[in-house]
Amino acid sequence: MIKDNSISSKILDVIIYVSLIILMIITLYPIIYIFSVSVSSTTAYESGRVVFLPVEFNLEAYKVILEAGTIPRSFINSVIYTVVYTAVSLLMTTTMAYPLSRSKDRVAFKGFFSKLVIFTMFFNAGIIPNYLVVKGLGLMDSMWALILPSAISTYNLVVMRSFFEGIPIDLEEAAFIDGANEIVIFWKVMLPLSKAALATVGLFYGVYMWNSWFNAMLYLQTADKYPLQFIIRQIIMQNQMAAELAAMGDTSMMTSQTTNSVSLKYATLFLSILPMLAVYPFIQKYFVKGVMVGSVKG
Amino acid sequence: MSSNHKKIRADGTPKKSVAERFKGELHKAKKGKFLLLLMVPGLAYFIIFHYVPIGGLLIAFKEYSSRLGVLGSPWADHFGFGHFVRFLNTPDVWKYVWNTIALSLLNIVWLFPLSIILALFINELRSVKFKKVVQTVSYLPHFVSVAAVAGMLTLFLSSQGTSADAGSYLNEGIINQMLLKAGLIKQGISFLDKTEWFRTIYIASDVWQGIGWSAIVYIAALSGVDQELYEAATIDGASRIQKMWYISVQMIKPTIVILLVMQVGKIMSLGSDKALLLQREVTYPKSQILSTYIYNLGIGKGEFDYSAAIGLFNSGINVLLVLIANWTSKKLTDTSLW
Repeated sequence: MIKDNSISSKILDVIIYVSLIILMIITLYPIIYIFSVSVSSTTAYESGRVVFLPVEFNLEAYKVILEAGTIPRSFINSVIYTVVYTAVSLLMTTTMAYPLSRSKDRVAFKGFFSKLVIFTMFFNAGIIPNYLVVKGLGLMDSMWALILPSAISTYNLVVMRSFFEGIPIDLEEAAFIDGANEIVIFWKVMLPLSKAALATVGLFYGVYMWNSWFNAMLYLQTADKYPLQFIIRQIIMQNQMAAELAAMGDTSMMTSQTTNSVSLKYATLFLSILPMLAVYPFIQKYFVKGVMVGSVKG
Repeated sequence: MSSNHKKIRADGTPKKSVAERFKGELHKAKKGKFLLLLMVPGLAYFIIFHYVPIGGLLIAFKEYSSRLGVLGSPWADHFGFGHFVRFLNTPDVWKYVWNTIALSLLNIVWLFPLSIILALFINELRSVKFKKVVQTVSYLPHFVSVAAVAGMLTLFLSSQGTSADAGSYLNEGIINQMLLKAGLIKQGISFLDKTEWFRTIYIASDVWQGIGWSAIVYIAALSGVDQELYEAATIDGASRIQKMWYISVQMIKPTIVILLVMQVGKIMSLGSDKALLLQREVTYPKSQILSTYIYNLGIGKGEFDYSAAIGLFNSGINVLLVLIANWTSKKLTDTSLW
């Protein structure tokens, strides 16, 4: 680009840089603040001294969390659900997307199956019938109630299909001529070529499951099985209850409850964000790619 | 006349009948079993978790009793449309429809232009490094779960009405602490319990979470703009602001139009996730949207049949809106979703 040194251009630069820096501050501030409160003392919080950085640094809250066991357990639950879900979803999405990406001369009823799949993008039966199906299948209070009902995202299926469609047909034809059958082509030719797409779609699924809480609320009843994000919701509810008690004038109960728990709440919140915080800089480029494929080929 | 029985296709070959085509597909199935077998788990999923529930929508026309099941339950009154009649005659329902639309529209009004401006600003950056940093940071909130965002809002905005001279901020969130310290309020405000604050909180957090992510598509479109256009404009004496408006914005106009139309097509399909986490019973007049109403009534109170009817009504409208949006997009930009 040709350099423009006029005053108006300089003013524009100032506006752009200032607003982008403000955006970054607004984006990062809440995350840093959550961490700061989680490692600050309650007295520092009470006197209103925790504004940005930690005051009277201590890891008491994290110690309590580790000893209490609820949060570590829900953390492990979340990891298990995410890993199993990603594996199941990736397997089912790939095996469905691949035939739908092949020529209609090779796949019987391809047109019909494609329509069957695409229709679900536009029409959803809604929460009640889905709930009754899960209940009817006897999946209540089981990990599978979180995994199976959303095993395939039609959007991800379309992304995967577009990717398979983009692999040059020559590769497949060459393998055919070499005497490979469909199974070998799928397993030894197509899948190895699709590593980038598998990573993208796998990450879509993984992040979705890690961050989801709604199905846990619908289908899980045993506290031992709750994922981490659902624990966050419990904290919200607890906070709300404390506020309601206060509104009713009953402060005796809630002060003893909230005194120790300010940093606990913030520590739990921070722990629920931490894994994403740690991995997202590395996985975001796959996401950006996936968004582009989806928006062009939706 | 017999030669007219078969319809003639554009390429001159006669169109096959359904039976003939079915036979052809069966023949293909015999030849290529592997690809069909691969699809079995996926098809089973779509049938069990999409088409069985669609069949289960029958419940919307029934007086459901869990003892008799969906099929065995008697039909609702008004020839099965009793729940729809009740729904359309409930005055509150129209408030919830409006709440849904209002939140969707406010989201479009704020997030849409802001993400375009962000993309334009990022496009103007000359330092590749700074560009990368801004983009990476702006994507972050997209990876934070809705539950965590709601958790943050709950903690930051909470208050138990501590007065400014109490000297203790223990029960006040950071926002109330700041307002109290600045002397802007005399007593902490529990924002999430205030009906008039609900939409502001909802939309502001939407923007916080979505602005960077929504900008991706525009940034990509902008990076595809021919640099010669800018150079030619510079030679003609155009200022940078003029170039932003007359080149950048014009070049991404098709993208803007498509996304806008699609967004409008989704105004009735706002999910319950965030609203459920942020709503309190006192804020229902603004925070109750269709999807949360269905949840609160169906799962919360066990009125499966009635809430399924509302769900069906909602889904029907959604399909209609998406079809209209797609048709509009096709007319305006020659691009359609499918």
